[in-house]
Amino acid sequence: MKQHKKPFRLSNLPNSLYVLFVVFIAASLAVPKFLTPGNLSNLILQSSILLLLSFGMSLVLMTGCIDLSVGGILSMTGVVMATMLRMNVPAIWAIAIGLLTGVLFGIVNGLLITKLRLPSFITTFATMGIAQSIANVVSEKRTVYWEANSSNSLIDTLGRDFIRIEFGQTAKEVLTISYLVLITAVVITVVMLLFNKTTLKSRVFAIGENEEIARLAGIKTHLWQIGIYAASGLLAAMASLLVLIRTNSLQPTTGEGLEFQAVVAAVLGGNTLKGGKGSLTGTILGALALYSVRSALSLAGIDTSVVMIVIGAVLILGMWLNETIQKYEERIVGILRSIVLGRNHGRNA
Amino acid sequence: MDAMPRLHSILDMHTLKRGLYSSSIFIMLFLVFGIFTVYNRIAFDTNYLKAANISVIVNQASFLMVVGVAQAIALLTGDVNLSIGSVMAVTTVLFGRMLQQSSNIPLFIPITLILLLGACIGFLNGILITKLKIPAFIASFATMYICRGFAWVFLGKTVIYRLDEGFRTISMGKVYTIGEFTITAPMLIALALIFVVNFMLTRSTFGRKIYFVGSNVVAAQASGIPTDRVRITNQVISSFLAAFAGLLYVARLNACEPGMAIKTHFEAITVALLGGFVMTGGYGNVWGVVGGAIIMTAIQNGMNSIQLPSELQTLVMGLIIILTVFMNTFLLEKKMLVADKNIETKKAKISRGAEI
Repeated sequence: MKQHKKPFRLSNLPNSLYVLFVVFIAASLAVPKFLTPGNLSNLILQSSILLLLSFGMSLVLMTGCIDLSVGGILSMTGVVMATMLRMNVPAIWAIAIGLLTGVLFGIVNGLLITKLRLPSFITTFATMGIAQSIANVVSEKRTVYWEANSSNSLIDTLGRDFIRIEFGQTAKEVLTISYLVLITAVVITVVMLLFNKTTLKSRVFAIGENEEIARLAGIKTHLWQIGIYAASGLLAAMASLLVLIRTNSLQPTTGEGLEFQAVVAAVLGGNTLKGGKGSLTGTILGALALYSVRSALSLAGIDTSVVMIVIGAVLILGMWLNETIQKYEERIVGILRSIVLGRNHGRNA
Repeated sequence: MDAMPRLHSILDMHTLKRGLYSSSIFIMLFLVFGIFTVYNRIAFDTNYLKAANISVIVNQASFLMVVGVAQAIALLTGDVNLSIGSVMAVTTVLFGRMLQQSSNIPLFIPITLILLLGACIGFLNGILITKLKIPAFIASFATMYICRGFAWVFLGKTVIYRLDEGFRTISMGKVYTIGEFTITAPMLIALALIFVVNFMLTRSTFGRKIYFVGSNVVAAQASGIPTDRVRITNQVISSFLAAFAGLLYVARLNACEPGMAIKTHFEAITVALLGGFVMTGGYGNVWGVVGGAIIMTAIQNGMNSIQLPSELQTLVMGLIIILTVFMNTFLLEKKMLVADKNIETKKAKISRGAEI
């Protein structure tokens, strides 16, 4: 079936576009150091970890469930990979096994939720504790380091910059795109293509809207849900790979609290906790908006306690903007048009 | 003559089964206590079940019961309140100086102010959820950040300590001792609270409205219930109770600090869900929270008593949570099945009566 192109409407834009727009303009005006190539490349690098997590989270949210265990999975898979590197396992195998651990843990989540019919919130909360605890036991609650040698040179290579464009001498005038950002971009593109070009989107939305009806319509709901949880686990494992490469070591508590940030980024992007709709583009913009706020405030040297208040306020503002623009779309478009085209042109769609 | 049918109904298998199926929390309690008792007896030859230990467990559980009830009320309308811990921190921190020994302000003033502030934060939550249509999860997450931020801004890295002794009796007071079992003030407070909330939920019109809104907002709206007002009031009660719990915690700690109760929202949700409440709302009995809180504390206490390393404790906790929730859902389904059968047999009886 060929999809007809929708007419352009404000409410068809991803939700978090406005909040990103507002935040970005405000940050650029208020903080002079914000809009520099160096800071922007740093911003993208920092947000790429959250991007991967919130991508998995968005998929899970679209099915009407939630996955609070992503933070725990991130810690656990990271510790697994780091410990293997420490034991001089070739980097490629360490990464493969780490990613596999993430997938397996996601499958366990999915099995518990579909086959035992447990509510996803409390189940993934419990598995978060389990994953975190495994991370603590394996690492003995200490940061895991490894010695750089020929077997793990891959990690070193991936930590380097891919493109480096110098606008000037100082660090803030250098635009860098590292391999990490490249990996994130590739993963995101693959997920978006899978989501938009295959039946994944319609299946996921159908399950999120009404699982029973989806099942009666012939969708293997359990299989899809387990698959989505596995994907979420895989993305969390990839995020932990990014952390590991970036910091060249791994703390067992890296993932704590990240699950909430992932939910916030996804919900700012227009995904609901009820499921059945949502957008991945919105999630990207939501994650970028969150990190723009953080980056701007830390550049301005504002205390972390105030940062918390501001993030809370931005969250409310973003949700309110989404709601208002949906509600008053016609009127806003009318005003914009009358400004641009003059009074005589009415709204003729 | 009347005794026969009543006896019959007691012995009725369906009723028995329904009773069994709705008591999953007690089965879990029995299991948890059983395992730790046996383990302690074999490994350390100590008595886990002695009255002094039980009294410690119940005393600790009373604090969890208060936050659990606060969360359970929010869950009943299908909302959730993640800001519980932060509300506890911000309210007590703001009025901490008034609670100190050195201040000569009568105690009822700071206590009233704290409870009022809690209610106001709840009102803000309610407005965000109903009027701005922000999902409760996100709205209360935002207020959680804002409240915690304010608590840090206000006190910074300092701690207010040495609180008024009269105030501390609300969570340190010992009321009566039976053998080795000490009845403490928090136990009585939690019990009174559960009674009041249970009365409100089951016997008042407002309580029934809460359940109705939780089961189906659209239907409730259509039948003339002011759903927005019910949900706002609900959030107000929830945050009010959170502020109250803050008072209890602070009295126990003998200090006000901005970092207190940082994971309480999770604990509260766990207690409420273990107690048989559901995230979608409209179902649950407040007495379940008592069981949930006692299970949580009993597990914690038991794991400490067998000297389990702290990194393994979260693992065991996770497994037990999954097991308990599984029991809850499994038995609830069975109960529903029995209820269905019950209706069918009754229908059959009626139709048979009509034939005769």
